[in-house]
Amino acid sequence: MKIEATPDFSFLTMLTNASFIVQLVLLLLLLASFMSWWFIFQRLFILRVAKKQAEEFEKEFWSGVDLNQLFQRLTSGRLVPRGMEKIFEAGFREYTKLKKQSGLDISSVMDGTRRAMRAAYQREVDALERSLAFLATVGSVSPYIGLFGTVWGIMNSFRGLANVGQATLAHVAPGIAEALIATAMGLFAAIPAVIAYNRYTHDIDRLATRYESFMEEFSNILQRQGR
Amino acid sequence: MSAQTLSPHRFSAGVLALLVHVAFLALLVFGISWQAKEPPGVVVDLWSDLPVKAAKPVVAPLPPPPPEPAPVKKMEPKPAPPVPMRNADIALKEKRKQQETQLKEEKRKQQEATQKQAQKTQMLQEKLKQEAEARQAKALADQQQVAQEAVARAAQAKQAAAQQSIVDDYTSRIQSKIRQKVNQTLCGNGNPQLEFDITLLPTGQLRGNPVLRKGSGIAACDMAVENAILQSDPLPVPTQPEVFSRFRELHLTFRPNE
Repeated sequence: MKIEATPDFSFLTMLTNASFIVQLVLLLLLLASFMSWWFIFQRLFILRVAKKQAEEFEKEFWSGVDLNQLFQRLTSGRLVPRGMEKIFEAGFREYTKLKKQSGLDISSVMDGTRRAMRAAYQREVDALERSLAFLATVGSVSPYIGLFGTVWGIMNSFRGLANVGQATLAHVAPGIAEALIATAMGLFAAIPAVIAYNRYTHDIDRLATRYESFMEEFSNILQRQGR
Repeated sequence: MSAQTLSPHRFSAGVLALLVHVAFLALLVFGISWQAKEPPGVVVDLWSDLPVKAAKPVVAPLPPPPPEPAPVKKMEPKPAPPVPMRNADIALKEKRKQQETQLKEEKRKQQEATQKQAQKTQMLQEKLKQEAEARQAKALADQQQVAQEAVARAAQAKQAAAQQSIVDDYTSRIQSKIRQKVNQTLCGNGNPQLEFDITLLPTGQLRGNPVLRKGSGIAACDMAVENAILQSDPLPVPTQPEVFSRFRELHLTFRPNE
């Protein structure tokens, strides 16, 4: 007895034999996976740099350096100040500006400085959080897209099965295996995205608290100086 | 913000992402050993007994020997045309010389011709020989095939005969087992005939109820036979699966009063 359904299903023939919808789903998932991995690596580097910068700046700041000198170095440097440096720069600039205006008491100077620092802080955190939303979306949606592809593929394979008089496992198996690739692809896209999303939000939270505590400490120092 | 969009890491990140996907696809394509070929099927012959040694293959008469190669026609060297005698003295010598050279020429030509002829005949002979050999080999192969077929047929016939004897044995056993249980008093004095269809499991148990195909006209008699069939439930069936396949569906004909 010969079984007509070809048992030879390598991965590539499976891809080429899949229905159009399944192929589309696979392409979409591949794209999503690629983008999410791209963002994962990008965020990885950016967060690593931001952490290093924050550490270095804190070390320098607490080493008792003259604040004016520090400000000069930051503004005249080639590199655009980022992260904690940026917060320091914004705060100190506002502080010196307000200080020059006569007739302002220290509390209003400090209020202005705080606002400036808060704005810079928000901008920095926002920059760090970029494209995390994409990771969250990929993490939550791509399993469903993969599932959709699988369901569609299995539907097709069963419809093809209806045309065959005697159904054997060899008739059903390739179609189902083909369809299950879509689920595998969806999971492949989703799992790293979810892991990266969770880890990066945690990292960014920690960095944000660090920035905030720096802001408070810095305003304290400025207030002491201003008296 | 534009500095952020054009992150310095976007190229390295892109390359890394690409690497991850290449690795993933490679894993899918090569890593998982998809069932690429069907395991070769195993054919098992079930013998109820050892086959009798194959009857000696009848040796078919050898094919007629190849026809003798066509006789080679030998070209008789034609004698040189007679030189016309002339009485002329003048230039006799020259003429003679001429004649001599002519003669030589002709001789040479003749020699060449005979050589060619010989070659041709040799080639022809070889060809014929090859053909004859091929024919002989083919005949031998045919003969062997015929012999093998004969053996196979004999074995089949033998097996079929063995099966038939088993089948007969079991049919009679089934018949007698059922017959014992028929309450004959219910079938009157005539010679009623009933036909039942039953389906059996490999264990000999009935699958479903017996179906009455042709009744005897006496309801009680039909009932009696049906009961008898039901009562003799595990019917004796052969254990060999290939023989049992003939017992899967049985058409039983009864004459309870016989």
